[in-house]
Amino acid sequence: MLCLVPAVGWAQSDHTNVESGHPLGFDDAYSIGYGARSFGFSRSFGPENDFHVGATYGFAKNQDFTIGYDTNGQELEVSYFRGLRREIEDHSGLAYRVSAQVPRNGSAYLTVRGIATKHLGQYGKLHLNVDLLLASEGGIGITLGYSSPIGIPRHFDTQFVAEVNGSVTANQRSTARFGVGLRHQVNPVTVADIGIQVNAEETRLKFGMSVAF
Amino acid sequence: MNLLPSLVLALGPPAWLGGAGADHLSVMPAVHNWAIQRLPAFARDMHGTGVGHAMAYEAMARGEVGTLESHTFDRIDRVLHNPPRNPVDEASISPTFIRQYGALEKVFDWAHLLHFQTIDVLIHPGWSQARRDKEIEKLWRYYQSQPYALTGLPMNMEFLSSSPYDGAFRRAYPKVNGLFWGYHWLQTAAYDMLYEIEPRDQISQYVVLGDQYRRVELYRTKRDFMPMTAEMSPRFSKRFPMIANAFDNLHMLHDNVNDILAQDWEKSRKQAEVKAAIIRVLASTHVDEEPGEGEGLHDHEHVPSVPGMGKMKGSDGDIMFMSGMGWMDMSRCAHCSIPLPEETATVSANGWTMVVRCLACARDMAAETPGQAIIRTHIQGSSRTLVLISDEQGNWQSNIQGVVFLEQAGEHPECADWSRAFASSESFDAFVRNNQISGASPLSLQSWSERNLGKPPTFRKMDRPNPYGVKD
Repeated sequence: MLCLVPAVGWAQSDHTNVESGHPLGFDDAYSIGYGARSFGFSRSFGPENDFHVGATYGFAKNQDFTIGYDTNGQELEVSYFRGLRREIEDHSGLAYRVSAQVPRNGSAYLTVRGIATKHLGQYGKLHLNVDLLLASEGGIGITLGYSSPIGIPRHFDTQFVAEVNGSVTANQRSTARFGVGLRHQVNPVTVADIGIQVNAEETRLKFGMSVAF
Repeated sequence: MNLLPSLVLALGPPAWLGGAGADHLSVMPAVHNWAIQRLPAFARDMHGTGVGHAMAYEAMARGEVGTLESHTFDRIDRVLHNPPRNPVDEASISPTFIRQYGALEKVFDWAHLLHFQTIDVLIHPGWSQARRDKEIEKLWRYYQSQPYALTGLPMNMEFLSSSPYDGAFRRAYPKVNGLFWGYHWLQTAAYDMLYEIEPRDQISQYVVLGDQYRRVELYRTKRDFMPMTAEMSPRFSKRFPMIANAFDNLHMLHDNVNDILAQDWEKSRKQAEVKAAIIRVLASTHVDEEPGEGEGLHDHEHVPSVPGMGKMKGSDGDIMFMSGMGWMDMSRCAHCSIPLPEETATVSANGWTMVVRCLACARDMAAETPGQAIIRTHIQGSSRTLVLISDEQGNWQSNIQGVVFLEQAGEHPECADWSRAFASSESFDAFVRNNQISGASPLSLQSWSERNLGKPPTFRKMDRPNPYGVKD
């Protein structure tokens, strides 16, 4: 089954910078820093156990490139992220991501994701991700993500994340998903994440880690 | 005549100041990154400074200035007593401020990365000093490669602090301003704690400096002026004046921004004034200008003996007013007033650091000051910098076991010759023999500690009025 959320386990080593796959499926509107390099992996447990591994490089300001591999689908994944605008005053931060998945068996497909990030309250942020799946079986997916630091004003190393996702494919097959998780700064270069995603068919527990190098 | 700086201003702000991109930057990839974590207490205090900055700015951006001296101060103070183990993302603590002053965040973040990476180089173990110096120069080039870089030229501090709104923040919010200047004290004092000091000798110094920071420096509300890098870390600043200047320009930008945010102005006016303050200290505003030249905004005159410090209010040549010390001649020993030789020592006590001619001057100056003290100097017979730390009673401990001292008290103009330290008795004997010094015997650390030559007759105190009109 084609996944409407880019699964690329890219690797951002700042716990506040939300990344798709660690642990949930949505992005915020910010790229990895220019010149930054990081490596990440994500393990998920459900009816099928997945393992994603990926590396990200911030090759230009507001742009990064990721290459990853998913052992379950045996897919090679490449992804380009571009931040268009930071959040300024009352205007959302905007970005897009283009991901290509190349399964070992089957034809390649492309996902284009539009991303908007806007603060909700003082510290919380909403992240709207809209995915267009460009494949023989096309589709559209919408994810509303939420992130908020936990512990301010005493602690500054943990981020709560949550998502609601709905998607529909060209043949009218629809799915809905809910997820919650945490991102924790382990040390200056390492973020650990844990989360759970639930849909009608399965419950998936996820662990991951991202390390700057 | 170079017209570029005036053209920069005449043509308006650099394009990036109005850019919409987040433009996040990374540290220069390097093996030394985050070596600061090897000094956990120091690292945590440094991370705490980021929280303190961010919380104060967030309160100001949200129109909560009325809480600065009470609720916000208490929140910051609580964090400073329990500082975070890891570096903090200041943007996540001050999101409102970042949405309003995103360009300023870029300048601050980029300079803070230089702060941290320079510290990392100085802590990273196993490197020679020459390699560290080379790496810091590389870091400086990396820093200067971005448009957000601040100038490494000395800036006229009196000029930069001459706006009509200057001082508004520290007058209205002395406690929070005290915290800001406390952070800047820590950030500037750290460099001499680390520079040319082996990593194994750095932790013991931070026991003293960290205590001074947490107990005293954060709560000083009547400093005359912000701590200057070359005042706090004269050895590092002498070697890297451009970095010392950049940090002073950064801290002055903090002061300017604080004063602007403290005004009862429309947000749009504050934003315009902040941009103007940024432009004043950007490297791109001062392209092709030289130290010691120019005037007004482009006045890069420095205290002649201190190329890492811009001209201060009331300064006259090498004579300048130092907060907590009064008027000093920077070309002369702080204890005996004799001109400084090439090789010097420094003594740090009660929050200040002074350059002195010899170890006797350092010891006796420390003895005049209550509390602990640190002496740093090069030493005969070892490439390791001698670090002496005294307790409250004046009992000194050395990082070099077996250190011995020569002290044959004579005239102070020659004190750098008759007061010296040696890594061993052998190096003492060799020096005495080669310099044909008769009757000298090596003093142990204990014997040397018990001596005190008092205030030298050559000492000249300069009695002039405080140019800042502040009394501590």
